[in-house]
Order: sequence, then structure tokens, then C-alpha cells
Amino acid sequence: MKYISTALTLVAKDLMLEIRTRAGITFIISLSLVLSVVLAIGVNSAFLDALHIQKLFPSLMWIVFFLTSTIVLGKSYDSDLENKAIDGFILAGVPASALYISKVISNFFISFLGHVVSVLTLAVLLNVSLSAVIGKVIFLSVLVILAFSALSCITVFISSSSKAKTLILPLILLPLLIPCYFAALELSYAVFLENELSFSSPWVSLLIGIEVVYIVLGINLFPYLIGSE
Amino acid sequence: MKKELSYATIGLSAGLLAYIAYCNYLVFMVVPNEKIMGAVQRIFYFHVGSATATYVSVAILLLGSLVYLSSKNKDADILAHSAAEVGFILSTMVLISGMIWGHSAWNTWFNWEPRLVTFLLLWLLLLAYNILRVFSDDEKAATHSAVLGIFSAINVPIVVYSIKLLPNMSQLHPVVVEKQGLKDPLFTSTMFYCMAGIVVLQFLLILIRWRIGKLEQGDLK
Repeated sequence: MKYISTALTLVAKDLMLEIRTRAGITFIISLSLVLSVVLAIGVNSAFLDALHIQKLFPSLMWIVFFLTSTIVLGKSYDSDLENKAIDGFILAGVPASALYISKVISNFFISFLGHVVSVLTLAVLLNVSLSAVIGKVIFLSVLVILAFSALSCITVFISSSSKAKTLILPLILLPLLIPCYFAALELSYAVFLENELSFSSPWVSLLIGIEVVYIVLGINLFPYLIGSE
Repeated sequence: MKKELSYATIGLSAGLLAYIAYCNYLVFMVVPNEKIMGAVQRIFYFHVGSATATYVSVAILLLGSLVYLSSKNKDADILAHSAAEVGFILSTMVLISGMIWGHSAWNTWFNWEPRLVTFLLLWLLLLAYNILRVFSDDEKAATHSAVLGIFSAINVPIVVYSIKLLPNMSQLHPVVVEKQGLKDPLFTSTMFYCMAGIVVLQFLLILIRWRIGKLEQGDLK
């Protein structure tokens, strides 16, 4: 119970900091909007018909998500690394794995917000209807964003302490996300083109498997990253 | 360990060079042209060996990373770094030789089939690892690289599984290779000789790179 309350306290700390500074929220919303508009202009200029746009929509949706979240979450450890705050947490007896879990949860919320903005913007600009599939899109998005958050929390920390942190993060993170990207695309095609999302689909199992692997690895390896092991 | 190479290492290197020369003789002078693809098929002997050696490099990277994290043994870190560098070179050879072969034989530079996509992603992961080593803060480079190495190595089977789930993924490799008549024992034996030579060459390159790493740290006298 103490472990859970510690993790939740850290989540509350991150979210409160985010609400006060509004840095991450502002940038993820703005970047999602801008990128969605740019992609929509490109698609519109190709004069594709409605069916082709519907086929392209999942790719656009996830490209915007992965790019904007990678850029914005690259700053997620800045406040913790400043003045060695992470060392303070360790000295205060906070388990390193609780730090990791709290970061996964808080980054999940910020990424989800950006994803909602980009999906709605793209749907409006490209005239794609979401009403029939909104529940399935939300469920699918939760799975994908959780896998993304679990992996990004490790890779963002690795890149934060390197000399070219903002440049290195996409190089490290994006190749590792490819299986997640495949699953996101295939499930999104099934949702948008056939209005189907089967829980017995191997892609759903793959996504859940990826989350389990990344979270278990993250919990076990994060203490080494912050130097508490 | 001494700075100078031991006589055993020099002898092994000379023996390996002679073996590789023999493999080249087999490939270019003994094995006949494949009946459909012709001479371009000979690239296969270097391509398959390089692919096998790349997978061995990734396994060494994983092992070195795990040992380093558990024991902080610098030799293990240098070994992991060496394996990643050699693995990157080998995976580049696999991609380039595969593209040359694919274009010559089937008029396609790249096909979205499982093995090609897996290798492309493996190449990207090894590239990321090597770039991280160059730009990391010296104190933390070893630990951060070890974590990335573990994630990269564990991601490989996930990638392989996910690609196999993709619909309409044609298997370019085994079907075409079987149909083109590579069941001849001479082809198969040459392939295994070349594969063994490249894998041993890979170990030698990792050893040399490891010694360079030790020299940079001042551990060899």
C-alpha cells in the first residue's frame, strides 16, 4: 500500500507541476495541432477520395502521435534532473521503480491529451467520422499509449544525460517502437475500415505483451539508470 | 594482458585469412553458377554468413550488457560495445548484399517481408546504440548503453513475431531459394564453410576491438 501511495503521490506531483507550468500540455497540444494541419494539407493536395483517406487516417494519426510525444516527452525529466532532485528522492527512500511507474502514468496522461487533439483535428480536417468507432479508438489508444509511455520513460532518461539529448531520443526511441507501431496500425485499420476490434486478435495480445515486457524491464533496469543499484 | 598481440592470436588470424581465401576459392572457382539466377547468386554465401554473425553479435551485446549491469565489470562493457560496432558493420553488409542480390535476381531493391524488415530494424537499433556511445556522458555511457543494449536485443524477437503477424507478407527468402535448386550438396556445404568463416572473423574483429577498448582505458601494459 505504501508503495502505491508513494507512486500516486509522485504522479500527483508531476501532474500538478504540469498544471502550474503548462509547459508540456501547451506544447503537446500546439505541436499536435500544427502537425495534424500540415499532414492534412498534404493529404488534401493529393485529392484522394473518402475511402483512400479513411485507409490513410490510421497512419496519419499514429505518425502525429509518435512524433509529437517523442518531442514533448523529451523534456519530461528536466525538472527531476535539475539540482539533482532524483538523488533527493532516492535519499528520501523513494523506490526507484515507484519513480519509474509514476513517470509512466504522468507521461501517459500528457500523451493521451495530445493524441485526442490530433485525432479530432485530423478527423475534422479530413472529414473522417469517428462517431461509430470512438469507443474502440479510445481502447486502442490506451493500449498503444501505455506501451509508448513504458518505453519512452526509459529512453528519455537515457537521452537526457547525453550531450545531444533532443537529437538522440528519436534515434533511440522510434526503432524500439516499431512493433508497437505495427500493432497500432493493424488494429486501427480494423477499426476504421471494418469497425472491428476483437479482444482475441493477436495484435491486442502483442500490445499487451509489449507493455508487460517493457514495464517489467523498466522496473528492473530503472534503478541502474538513476544509480541506485 | 600484454599490449602486443600474442603468437596464438597472430597464428589464429593467419589461419583464418587462409580459410577465408579457401572459401573465396570455393565460391568463385568451384561452385557452379546457379541455373536461374546465374553468377549473382554467389553473393548468397557472404549474405547468409553475415546475417548469422550479426545475430551472434547481438547475443554478445546482450550478454555483455547483462554482465556489466550486474557486476560493473568494465571488460563486459567494452565487449558489449565491440559487439555492437562489429554487429553494425555486419548488418550493413547484410542489407547491402541483400539489396544487390534482390535487385539483380528479382528486380526489387527492398521487399516488405519478415527477414528484411527485421534486419532493417536491427540495423537501426545498432546505429542508435553506437550513436549513444559517441554522444553519452563518459560516466554514464556504460550503464545507459547497457540498458539500451538489453532493450534492443529483447526487441528483436518481438519484431520478428510482429512482422509474421502482418497480412500479405510474402516470404521472399525460403520459397524462392528452394525453388531455385539450392538443394545441391555443393551449394549447401560451401554456404556452411563461408558461414563458419564469417562467424569466426566476427569473433576475431570483436577481440581486436575489445583490445583497442582496453588500450584506450590504459588496461593493457
